[in-house]
Amino acid sequence: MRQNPYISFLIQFVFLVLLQIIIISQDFVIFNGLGFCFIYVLFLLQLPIGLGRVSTMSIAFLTGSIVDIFYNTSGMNAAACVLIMFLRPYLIKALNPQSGLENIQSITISSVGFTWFSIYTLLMVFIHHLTLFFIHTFNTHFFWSTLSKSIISTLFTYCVILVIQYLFYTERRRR
Amino acid sequence: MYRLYELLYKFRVFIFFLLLEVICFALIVKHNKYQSAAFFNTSNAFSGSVYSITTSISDYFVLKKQNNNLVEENALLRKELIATKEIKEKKFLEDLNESFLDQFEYLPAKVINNSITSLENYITLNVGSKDGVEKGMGVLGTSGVVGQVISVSENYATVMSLLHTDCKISSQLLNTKTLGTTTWDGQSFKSGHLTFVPRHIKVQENETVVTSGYNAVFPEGIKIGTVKSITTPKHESFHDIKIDLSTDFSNLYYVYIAKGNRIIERKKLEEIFLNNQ
Repeated sequence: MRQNPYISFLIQFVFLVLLQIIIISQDFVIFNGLGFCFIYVLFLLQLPIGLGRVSTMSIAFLTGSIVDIFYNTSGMNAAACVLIMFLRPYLIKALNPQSGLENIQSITISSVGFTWFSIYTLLMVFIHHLTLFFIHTFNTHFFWSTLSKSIISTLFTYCVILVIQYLFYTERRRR
Repeated sequence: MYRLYELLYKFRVFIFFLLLEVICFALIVKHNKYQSAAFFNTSNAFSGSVYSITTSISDYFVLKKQNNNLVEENALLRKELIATKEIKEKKFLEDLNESFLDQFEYLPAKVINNSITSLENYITLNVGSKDGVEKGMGVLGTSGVVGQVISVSENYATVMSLLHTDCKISSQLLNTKTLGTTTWDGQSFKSGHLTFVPRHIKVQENETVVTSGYNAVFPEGIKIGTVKSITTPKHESFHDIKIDLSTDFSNLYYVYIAKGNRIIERKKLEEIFLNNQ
């Protein structure tokens, strides 16, 4: 599995999207519908840095569309995903990890360190959720409620991402 | 030309990004239009307030026309009032239950957005749930049927115009009391179709078509239009009747919402019967 990065990404994709659609779905909600979890974003966050933006945006569009089909929100997740994939290189450049990213295949806690990974994940997930919820409400009337919903959901998604990171990606550190 | 190509190539990522986002938003908007009336664009608060500002300005230019319309309607109502009084005096209505008459209440509303060009036309009104408007109520103009309320926000309501390909209004021919359904074929905003009138019924040109009152949305006897032409296809069992709509949709400023006081009661009763069957 580790020999071929593409197969590993394919497996991640299937795993995370299935997790999103089947297990998390619309029922996995905290604080009376304030916190939602969009774990499939983790797949996009971990796409190889070397991959061009045209391909990452296409992948994001596809992934978002698949989730949209199951959530009955045609286009909304896709729009948010494409946006974060468009912004990702700028974000990575701005954060500029000290260890350098040249020899890193995918961004995980073990490869870039906890602090950097957290900042990167929180920012990306926050942009994604904010976009998604604003498209959902489609007006600025509920600005504060949408903002608080995005913040709570970001923290929620981040926690779940951490759990998954420690469950599945720690082998590489041991190696 | 080469420079242009170079420029495009330089911004290819951004252009691709825009393209994908445009596709997404097209999907979102389309989705909202067909699946959920709750997200309906024109009835949400923002566009509603914009429309009411624009109409408050453009209103001044049509004041004369509006006045004329209202005066005409006043005259008509006065005439009808006298007629009703006469009938009352003759005590024709004695055996009619008094409450039958106040089945409907009318709420005046102002049109703040209206379209007639698309296949699915909607009208936005400046009244909403605050004024007691509910989904499903009928909307009448000064000279006839206009449409039906399909979604309501706090201050605004969206009406599916009669000029909507999905709009079906239970109607009858005034002379013969034959039932039919009025639809719109998406062509001219001045004419509609009356369907399901059996071919053995004799229909005359210029005969009036009115609402039947069977669907509890509109009161009985509200004018829809007049018969323009009748064609009877050879192998069909129904006439194809073209009617001139009495409401001028290009010239619509004030309308009335018909609040049926007994719709709920009536629906409940009819449902019980249907369920028992």
